[in-house]
Amino acid sequence: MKRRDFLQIAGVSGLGLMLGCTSSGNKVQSANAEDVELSHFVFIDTNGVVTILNHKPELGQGVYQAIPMIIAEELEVDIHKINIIQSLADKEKYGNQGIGGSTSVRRGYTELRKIGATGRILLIQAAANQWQCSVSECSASNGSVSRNGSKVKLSYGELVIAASQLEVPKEVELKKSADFKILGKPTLRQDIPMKVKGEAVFGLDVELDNMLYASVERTPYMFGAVDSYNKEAIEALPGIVSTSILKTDLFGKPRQGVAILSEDYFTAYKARKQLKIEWTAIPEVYDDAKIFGAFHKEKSKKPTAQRNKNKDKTTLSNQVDTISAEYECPYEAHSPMEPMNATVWVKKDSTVEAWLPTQNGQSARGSIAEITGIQKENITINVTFLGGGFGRRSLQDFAIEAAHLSNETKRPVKVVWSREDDTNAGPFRPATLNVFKAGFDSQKNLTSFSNHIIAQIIGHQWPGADLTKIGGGTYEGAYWGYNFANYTQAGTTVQLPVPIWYWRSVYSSTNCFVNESFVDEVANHMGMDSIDFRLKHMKDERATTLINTIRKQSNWDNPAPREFKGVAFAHVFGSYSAQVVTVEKSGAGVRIKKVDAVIDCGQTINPDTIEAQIEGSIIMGLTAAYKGGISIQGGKVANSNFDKYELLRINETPEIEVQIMKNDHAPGGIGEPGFPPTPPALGNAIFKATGLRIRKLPMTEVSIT
Amino acid sequence: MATYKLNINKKMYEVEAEPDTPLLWVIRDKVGLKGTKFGCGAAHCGVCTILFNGFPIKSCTLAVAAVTPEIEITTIESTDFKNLKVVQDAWTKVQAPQCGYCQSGQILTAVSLLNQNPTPSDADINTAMTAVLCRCGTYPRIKKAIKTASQELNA
Repeated sequence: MKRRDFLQIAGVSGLGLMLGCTSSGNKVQSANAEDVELSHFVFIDTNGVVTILNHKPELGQGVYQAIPMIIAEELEVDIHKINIIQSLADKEKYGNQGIGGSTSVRRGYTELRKIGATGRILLIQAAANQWQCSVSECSASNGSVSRNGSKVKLSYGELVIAASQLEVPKEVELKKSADFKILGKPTLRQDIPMKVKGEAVFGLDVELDNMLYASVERTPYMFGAVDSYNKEAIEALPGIVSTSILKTDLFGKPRQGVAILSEDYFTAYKARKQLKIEWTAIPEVYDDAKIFGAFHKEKSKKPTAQRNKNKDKTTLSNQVDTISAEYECPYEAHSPMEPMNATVWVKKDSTVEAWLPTQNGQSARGSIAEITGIQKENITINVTFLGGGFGRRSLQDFAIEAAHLSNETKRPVKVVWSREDDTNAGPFRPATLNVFKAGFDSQKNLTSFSNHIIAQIIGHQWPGADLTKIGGGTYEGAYWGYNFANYTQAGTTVQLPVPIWYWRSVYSSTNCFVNESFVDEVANHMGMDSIDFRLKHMKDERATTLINTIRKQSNWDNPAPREFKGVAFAHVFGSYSAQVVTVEKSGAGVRIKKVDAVIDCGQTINPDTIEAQIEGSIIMGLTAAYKGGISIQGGKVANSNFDKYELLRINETPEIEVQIMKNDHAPGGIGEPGFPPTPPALGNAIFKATGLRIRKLPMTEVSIT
Repeated sequence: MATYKLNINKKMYEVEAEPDTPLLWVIRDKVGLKGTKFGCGAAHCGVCTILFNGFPIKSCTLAVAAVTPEIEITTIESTDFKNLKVVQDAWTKVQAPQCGYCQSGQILTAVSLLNQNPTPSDADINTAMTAVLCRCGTYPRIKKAIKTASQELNA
């Protein structure tokens, strides 16, 4: 295959040309070389230039570098000399390409290594065939195969045509971790030079000839249908090409809007101010008080489901004292800096091409097939860079809108959401009420610990969902490894007309805050040190090692004068995560001095990316702890832009120190585990500094700087 | 529609636009320079920041009619603006970006700061950079990158 054809298949060069910029980053081009496909992920040209595809969407978490690193390690090539290209969304070729649950590396690790190892073995076999020797006499390193004990060497470029014609081995031997040359070493990311020069192509940057821009006035009530609107008046405005009712659903309920299409975004956006829409099918109107009121109604009722461990009637019979507490957490918006957008082109020849900043291109491909009636094979999904996602872009509503509008107009359509559109529509991180109770015997030993989470359940939003079952994910972030006697985690599902969705660390984002705060309340009630209490109640050696490490790093046992420290722990998304927040008193409130973090995510791929993910998670955690919270008033979002929905800024960012544990356990997630411990560690530090136990997010009861 | 002359990265562009069109959309969709990003449309987040005669300005709320050809506009695509490359290289060296979407605004704001004050303190950095939001939370690395660039400029 010629390089040019291959790049077009990979869906990048065409876009680069259209944008008149070089989206190629560091890419090495070899003249007059032919690219040979060694697998769907690995291409080597006859000059030896290696290209590895990243098949997962890149939204900041670093897969663009990490996935090729895993393949390159086993392939035995220099990671600094390879080209990296983003693949199309194509399940047949690349398997599951969705991103969520911090799974890209931990679920793909072995398969990706096998892909690299298969390439290595084919290249070694090709060399052995040429030398007429056994493969055991050959070894691969740095893009070439050597014959052991001699200086004879063949480059991958010289071997690749022969290698590509060999039968693919059924089983491949993987390298020992002690022999890793790439994995576990900080490696410069190839997407970063593009991003500092403004050359990285995000969804919003896609530009096609004859393209229309769409701006959509969606129902302000999160759900609802359009009864009628002033179509003629809007279409008479200068620059307006067409308008239509976007008859879209969310979770089986209408979430419609009026789309205005123009040759440029601002003309379409501005015309929305002239719209007069009659809405129908508006759901029952809720506000914050009514939402939490609905939760509180459930707390005395039997939970939908529960899990119990360490049931022990004898211990329970000695219970003479209890403490209880209620915690409330608000909805949150994902608010990636790039608002939702999508570009879809339903062509007259009954094929579709789409350019999507999506966390799940395959899902979008399926939806576009349904909308257009065009078979998946004729739908090409280019995955652009994503300007953040945090879970939001795993829902494909933006792609569905663009598909409808392009299907109607048969022109390329880019739907662009405003910031307010992005915040108002949700779906949101679920709001929660948690009810805790702990019991003690006369010696103040813990005799029971129970938590009851009352919230909407993400999986219960689809029509026909089984409302009697609650998945284990609902309890994630509450550490089930604590060996508390009579330990219960219970859950109650609540149905509300507010759409919710996966948000960085999902239920862990609230569960860890409420559980680790109440664990601190229990420790305090027993007169025990927060870390001693946790260590006493956990057995997993990785957990205790982690806690002992954060204890040392944070100088836990020797705080400076006027310093107060709070700790929290999570075992989520395959990783162990502990943090200590250090505060000092500042007037009636506190000032955050430092956040210490330790992460055990097993075998590391790119440690620099891990550190970055933990830093970013902490900053998002502080935002959610004391700035965030989507407020709903009269059925609508009350804080839809960054003046009222504030994010942490640089001047509010404390010192952060991240330590990564070194071991060769299987890789764990890194995009989410850094988030959950931050809010509770802050709350626990505030309690020590002020005596005030914060049981409601965002933390507005105390001044935090 | 009216015609406007814009001096962007030392090149003169002539564009047709409605007078109230924000400069952001003119730069992105009429001039075709996509490195300047849209974040909030209300001058809260700063990802649309460009330089006006070397000083940061949020382009999403500035009507194109207010821009004259005498104003030297600099965007992330500039190849020769004073110290832009030094700052971009520092950004790469410390691996500052995650998703990268806000970084054009961050980098241009930092370039302006360093051109006025080549040895900014932590407080100076905070004051200048507080104008630009980053949801990924790259702030610690932005600080580090500015200090790296500052060392480079003063070497």
